[in-house]
Amino acid sequence: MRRIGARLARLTVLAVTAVAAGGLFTTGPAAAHARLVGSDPQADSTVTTPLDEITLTFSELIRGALSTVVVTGPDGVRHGTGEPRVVDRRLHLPVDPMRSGSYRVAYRVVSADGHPIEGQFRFAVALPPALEPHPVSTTGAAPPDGPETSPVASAPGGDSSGVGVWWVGAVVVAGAALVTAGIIAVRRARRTPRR
Amino acid sequence: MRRSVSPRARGRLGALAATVATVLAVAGCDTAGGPGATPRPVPSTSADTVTVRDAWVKAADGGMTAAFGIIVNDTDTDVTVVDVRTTVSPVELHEMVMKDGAMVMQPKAGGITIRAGTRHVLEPGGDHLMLTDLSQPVRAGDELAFTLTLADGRSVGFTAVAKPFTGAQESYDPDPGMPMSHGQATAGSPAP
Amino acid sequence: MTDRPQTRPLSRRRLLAGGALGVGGAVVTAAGVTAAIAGRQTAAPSTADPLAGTTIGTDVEPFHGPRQAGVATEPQAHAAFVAFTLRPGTDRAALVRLMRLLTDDAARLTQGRAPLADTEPELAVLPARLTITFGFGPGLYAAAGRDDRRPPSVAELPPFDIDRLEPAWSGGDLLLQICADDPLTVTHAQRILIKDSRPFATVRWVQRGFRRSRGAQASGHTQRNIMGQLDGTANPRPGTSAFERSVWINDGPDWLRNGTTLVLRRIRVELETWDMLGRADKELVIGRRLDTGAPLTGQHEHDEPDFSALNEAGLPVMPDFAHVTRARVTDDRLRIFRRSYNYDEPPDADGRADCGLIFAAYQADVDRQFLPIQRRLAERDLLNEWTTPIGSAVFAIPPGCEPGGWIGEPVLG
Repeated sequence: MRRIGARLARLTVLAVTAVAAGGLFTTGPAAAHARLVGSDPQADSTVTTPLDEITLTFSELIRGALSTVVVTGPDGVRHGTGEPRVVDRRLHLPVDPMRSGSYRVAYRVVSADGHPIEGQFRFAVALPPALEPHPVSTTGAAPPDGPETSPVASAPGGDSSGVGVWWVGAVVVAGAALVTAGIIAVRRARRTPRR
Repeated sequence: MRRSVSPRARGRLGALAATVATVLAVAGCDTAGGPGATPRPVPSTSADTVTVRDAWVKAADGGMTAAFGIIVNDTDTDVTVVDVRTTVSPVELHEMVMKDGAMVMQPKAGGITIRAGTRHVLEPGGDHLMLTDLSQPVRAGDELAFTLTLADGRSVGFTAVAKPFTGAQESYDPDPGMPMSHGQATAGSPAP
Repeated sequence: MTDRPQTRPLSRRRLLAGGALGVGGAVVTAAGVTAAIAGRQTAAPSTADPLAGTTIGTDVEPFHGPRQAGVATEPQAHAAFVAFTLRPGTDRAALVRLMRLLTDDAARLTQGRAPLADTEPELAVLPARLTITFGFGPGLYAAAGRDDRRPPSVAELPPFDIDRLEPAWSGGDLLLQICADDPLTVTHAQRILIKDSRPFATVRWVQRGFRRSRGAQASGHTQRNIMGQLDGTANPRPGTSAFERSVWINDGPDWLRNGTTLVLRRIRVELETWDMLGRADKELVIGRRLDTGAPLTGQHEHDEPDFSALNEAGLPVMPDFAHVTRARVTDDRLRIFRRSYNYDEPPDADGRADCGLIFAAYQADVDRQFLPIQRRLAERDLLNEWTTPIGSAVFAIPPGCEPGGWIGEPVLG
């Protein structure tokens, strides 16, 4: 059973090499056993719609009770809420409303054969001002329009100038996220430090 | 120090109570806890006396068995043990001798003499106290009271603890062809 | 006795006399008499002193005292845990006889003297810090009609999902824990004690275990187990108030006071799969560095783990599933004292190891101390993946005895 699983894992590793090279940072020794093969949002992607959960997909079954996932937002605040829920190879983590910015997902899970798997990736959120959640961050990056005053939800796309502004912001945020991810990728090419 | 004999044995001990009072270091009350650098302390009461130490008897369900120990003569005169008694059996002083190429046991004529300031070891394969006809089982852990009588009329009491023992099968001289067990050892017997 | 009794070497003179005499189990120690019967010696000591330069064989641990030896005693290199099943009919009176016999054997053997009726008395002369510790299982209290004197927490443990218990390694009415720095000494003591137990009890199981040889490293250091980990770092240290509070029963009637309890678990280690883990992953599973034994948040073995520390990714540095995280206890009264041994049986034909730990945990109260930890471990200790409990037994360790007394007297007397 475990041997078959390990073979599958190796095949899967081959299959996802391209994805991994693109920015998935799993721990080296665990790679032979199970690894992250996908996520929603995808690593290094930019999402433009509100999220209420993050999904991680692994190459093998993982154990829900032993999983830890931490989502850290641009303000350094944790956004994960509650315990991760694991269904087969997928892990679902409910998240608090996310405002625009760069987010880091760090995970430590245990595959069916007991091997710990640890890694992290980033994605960006770039929401139209009307979709920014309450409360607005007091940092200067917030859009000038208070979301609470925007009837965007009932009239999406009605404010063309607003659309232009948030697109600029999204590009900036996404670009920053990619640069950051790239730096991290270089730093962690070998392994995620654990001190 | 709390010593006792089995309840059944205790009932027969009245006549021997006086001599039992002289019981000294015996099995189970080994008191040497001091630094090993000093020799094991001899009980002070043993000075100028004859004592029996480390006494034990082979547990047996019936028949015959034997008792062993060390007779210590701390006096400055030779002593001779001429008689030995216990409550559960007649006792004979025995020795092992070589006869026709085999070690056999026989009553020790003239008793056992222990020279002044020496000790005499009773052990399987050597001199021993032979219990010739047990009136009751001697169970592992039982303690039997014995009394030695010396040639000068003095008595020496001691207690021997019963041990499961299967070693040193000996033969009895009158019938050297028949190995004679010192009673059936109780090791492995189903009920204690 | 104190918590860390000084070991004492036997006198060389006595030792040589005892070794040469072999007088049917009676080792003679009085110097004057030794000289008197010197003629019995079959061979004079050779000119080359076999004990030159070492006291490992002759060192002695005290036997008598208010507490039994073999708990606070610095662990010896070799151990035999021998569990017995009482024969039907072994009642309190029989148990008294048994315990008096065994106490006498132990008092002599641990001091380097042959017990009565020892047919190999020469094997008794090198005690090598021999301790013989007696444990009473629930069945002994029942057989004695003294269940009211059983420490309440001395009972079979509740089942855990991780258990794969085998009857051959579980339970027992009477336990002998025989420890010495020399395996032949352990073997001889085991033989003597089993022989004297046979009229009363049958051997249920024997577990032989080992640690590093004495002298291989300085004493007082945490040893590695066969998984390669430093094992026992978090132990309360004998002689400290933490040890007093966690290990010994300090109040109550005299059949409890100065006693303790022992949970003995045979834990098979799945070395074949453990080997498949990378070194860093092993450290994550344990929560400590393999080389230094330091917690993942520290630099040195005895650094306190920081369970709130996060790495730069935001994950706890000490994983929630790590053994150290699951086993942590902050209140001294809730700690346990581990004094475990390794076992290593022959591998199978394919070379797969059969080894593990004879996990011995001492605590004043199993329910208060051992069980909460065990529950947390069973719940989500990742180390469970590579460890399988295959044996389990619980014993009371009754108080010690003074010269003339015997172990178990307050329970059975």
